Amino acid sequence: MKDFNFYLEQIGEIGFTEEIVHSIVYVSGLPQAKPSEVVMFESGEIGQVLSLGEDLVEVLLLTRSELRVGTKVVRTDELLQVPVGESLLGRAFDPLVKPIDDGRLIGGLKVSPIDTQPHGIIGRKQVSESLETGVTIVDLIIPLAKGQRELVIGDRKTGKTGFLLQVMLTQARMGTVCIYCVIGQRLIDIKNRFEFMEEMGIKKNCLIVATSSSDAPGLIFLTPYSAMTIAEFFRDQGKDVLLILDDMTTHARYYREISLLAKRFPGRSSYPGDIFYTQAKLIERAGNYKKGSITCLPVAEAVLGDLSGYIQTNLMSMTDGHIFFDIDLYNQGRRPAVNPFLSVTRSGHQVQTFLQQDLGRKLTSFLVEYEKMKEFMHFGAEAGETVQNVIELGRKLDIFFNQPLGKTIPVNANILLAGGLWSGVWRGGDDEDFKRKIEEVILNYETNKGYKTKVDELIKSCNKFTDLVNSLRMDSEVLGVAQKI
Amino acid sequence: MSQRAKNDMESVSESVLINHLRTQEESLKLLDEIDLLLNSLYEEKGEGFELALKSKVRSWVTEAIREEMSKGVDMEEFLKSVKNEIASFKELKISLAFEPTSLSIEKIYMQAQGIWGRKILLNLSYDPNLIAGCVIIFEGEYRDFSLRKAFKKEFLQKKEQILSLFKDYQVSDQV
Repeated sequence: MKDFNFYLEQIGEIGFTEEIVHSIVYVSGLPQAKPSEVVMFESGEIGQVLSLGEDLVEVLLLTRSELRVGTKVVRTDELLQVPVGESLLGRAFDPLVKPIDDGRLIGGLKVSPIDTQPHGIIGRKQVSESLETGVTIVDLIIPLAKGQRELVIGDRKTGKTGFLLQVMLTQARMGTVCIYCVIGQRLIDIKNRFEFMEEMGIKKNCLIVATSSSDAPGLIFLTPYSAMTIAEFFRDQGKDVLLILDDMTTHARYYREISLLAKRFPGRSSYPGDIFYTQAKLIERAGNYKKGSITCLPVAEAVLGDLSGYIQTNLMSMTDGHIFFDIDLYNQGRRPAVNPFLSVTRSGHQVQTFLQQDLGRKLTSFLVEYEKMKEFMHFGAEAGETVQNVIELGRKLDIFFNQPLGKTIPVNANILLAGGLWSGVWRGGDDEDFKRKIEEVILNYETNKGYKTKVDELIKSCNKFTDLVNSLRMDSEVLGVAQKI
Repeated sequence: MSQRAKNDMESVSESVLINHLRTQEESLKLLDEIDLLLNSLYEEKGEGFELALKSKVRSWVTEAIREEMSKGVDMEEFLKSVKNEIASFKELKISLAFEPTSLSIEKIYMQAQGIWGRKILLNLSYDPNLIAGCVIIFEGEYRDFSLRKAFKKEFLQKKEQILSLFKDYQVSDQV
């Protein structure tokens, strides 16, 4: 952007600040101002035109600074644009692409408008590729696909961020461009995300767009739009992009603040009437396209597990499913605390193989049965052999699904382990022993190319889950079990 | 609009009070005096208005008000309509490179009135950085007719030539 005097001479219009209400400024003059146009103040701050009144122009400030009444304002005759380019990878910056990491300016960028209409149906295509998250319970029961919009919802401190970082780690290692958008959170959280990227060595495929809670509400409001614009740039390069929006309930809160200050009529829970449109037009820009894909994982915070909140239900209706992080499961020690019964995926199953679909169905129905058996056992009744087997297998499944933060497991390794569990090769063993065996299989799969090829071929050759289970019963050597059953 | 209302409006716009105004500063002062008079209308058992006229407002304002009173107008309505009339005036901001005299202000006002009509008020400011000329702001439109702008433009176009002249001057000075 040029400076104030340039626009003053170029455009030949001027305005004066008449009233300042926190982040909303009312400006007189500027007769040709357009909605969403960028305006610049004499002191260098920029704002965006929110609306046009009879005498005054309503401007949303994008910087948190002390403005005075009487400050001169000019139009720039431009809509808000964001610099985009390959050199953004590995960096952290604010929505206007000002670096917030080590301060070096980012060069070699072209500009792209921040607020665009979502693509129509012509440029899109059906989801066709699965998105591996590296989290066992999600990959097997609630699978995701590239181009899907999946809401991650749960109470505070239930492990949502940990899960997102695991997904980012898995995808970045596979070459997907990962964009983590932090919306109005603490500075230490932004730093932690950045350090995670550095420690895991995935910086070259990742970037962070972040605003802290001390930034101007206008800038916080723009954060996810800026991140989406950058995602669209990489999509247009033919790449697959993973976009994490953390979190959209905070975004809604800041938009509510701006709308109430701008004297918009409050609706339900004092949110403005266009809150759905504001967030939907953003989420709709993600999807699977002919050029590339943008997989969007918006995050929503629930309160005491209540999924019926206004923003939460809005987001659930805009997305292709949701992964629910249950506070009760978290308190029981489950990690990740994903509740498979209350989670939904609308697009993930159609990209799975028949084997994966079969496995998913079997796991889901088994988990339902397991829950019933657990309740049955609460009454202290004597358990028959069938019940005991179910409880035993369920317990082992709980251990199997338990996954520490920072650890990712390839999906084929998960399928193999699930097959091994079903085949009964680890029946009756010690829990610690079982954990160790799982670790061995995973380590072998990740480090031994020959072993990996063998497992991949075995899985590819099986059309149904029962085929895999039977193969493993016949020859369990691949699971590191010497004895043939 | 009724004939009486039309007559009232003409009366206000032709009033000496309005005709006397040239600058924004004058209009603000007049508005303060009008507010004072309005507030005094029902004070001191009706005597407050007379007292205010005698001692709290300027003499030409007092004369103008008395002239209107002699026509039998309702004073409260009249003062309110004067206020509304002043509020409808547009502001013409002019930054000058000199401090203008009252004669200059009158000349500028006449020129402006010829272009934009009667309903304008001048907001004059002094900015010596302009060197000469003026900057005009009216209804959000900004025009810079100062010598500063001309110099800047000239300098940008002939930057190299001017800088080399300075260098030659410096060298000859040292010699």
